[in-house]
Amino acid sequence: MATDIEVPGVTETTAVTEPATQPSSITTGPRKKKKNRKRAPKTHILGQLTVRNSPWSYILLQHLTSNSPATTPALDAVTAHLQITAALTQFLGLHGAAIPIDILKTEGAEVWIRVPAEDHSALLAAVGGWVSGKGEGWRVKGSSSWDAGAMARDSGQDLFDD
Amino acid sequence: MVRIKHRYLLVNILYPDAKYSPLRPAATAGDDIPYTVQFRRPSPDQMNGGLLMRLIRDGVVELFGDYGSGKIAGSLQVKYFSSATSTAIIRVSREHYRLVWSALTLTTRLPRPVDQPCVIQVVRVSGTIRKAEEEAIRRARLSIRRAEAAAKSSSVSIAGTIPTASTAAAAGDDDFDMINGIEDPDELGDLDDDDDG
Repeated sequence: MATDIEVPGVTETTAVTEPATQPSSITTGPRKKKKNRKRAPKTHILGQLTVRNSPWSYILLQHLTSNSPATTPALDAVTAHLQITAALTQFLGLHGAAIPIDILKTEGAEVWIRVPAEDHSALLAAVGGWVSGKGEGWRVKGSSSWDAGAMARDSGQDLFDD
Repeated sequence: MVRIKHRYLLVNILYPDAKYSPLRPAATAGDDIPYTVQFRRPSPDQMNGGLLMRLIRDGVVELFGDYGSGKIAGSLQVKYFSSATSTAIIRVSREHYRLVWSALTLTTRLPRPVDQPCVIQVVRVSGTIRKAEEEAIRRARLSIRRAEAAAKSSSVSIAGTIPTASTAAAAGDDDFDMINGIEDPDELGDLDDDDDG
């Protein structure tokens, strides 16, 4: 594949690649000469910025009910907000209920929310330990600091699936 | 052996609303008694240490939920309560005394059998109960002196100038708070008398 675009800070080479039958095969054949290698000019970095602390935390929650999944209606944002606020109020009181929660999307029984990063563990603890009067609860499917898909740090649930 | 450090909060219960007091003030309404003297009334008889404990626990549950009440529950204790002076010394664990402080600050009413509006003011935080006691005695003396000064000046003056001068002299004593602050620093050699946790 020829690279036409020069991206500063990225060095790319073009090479003739041979099809590999296994992904981790060791090539023992003669070394291929890379004739068409284009050397990128030496990059001169003017400045670098690394942002480590995201101001937000994105969390994916799954609503659990004692009913079968076929009969439960789809989760709406108001119910999700009500239940999460109830969980925070029980665990952390008025102080916890003041945590700002943004509901990004609801789909089926899942809801994507966003909270300020410093309230991440408070929210997980509150939501994880809460049960409603009818036996509904929440399961944390994943969270992320940067990605709104919120599965960058998943809960490891697939460890328990067969 | 782990030493559990505590903080002792010296607390005043003030009753700013005159009509709820069970007692009538000694002076009539026209006298120039400083508010700091007027607010310090004795508490009703049903008020006791147990009621104060209930007040604090309910306040912390409302403000900080199960988490907060779990943090302070083990070491919360009302060490001293006097309904005559409406003063109390409350023991809390060192890491979480601010939860109790905020719950006290945000109470507006005393609980059910008493049910009166009040203001709770934390005036000292110290690491040993002895320092809290000494501070309570110092403040009691100060308020007696102020009350005497106010009574003397109200019986003498006709114009309003003399009482303001005498109350200003008495008010110089409580700049102590402004200079030193409410919290006592930990000192070496502070022995906490009750380490039972």
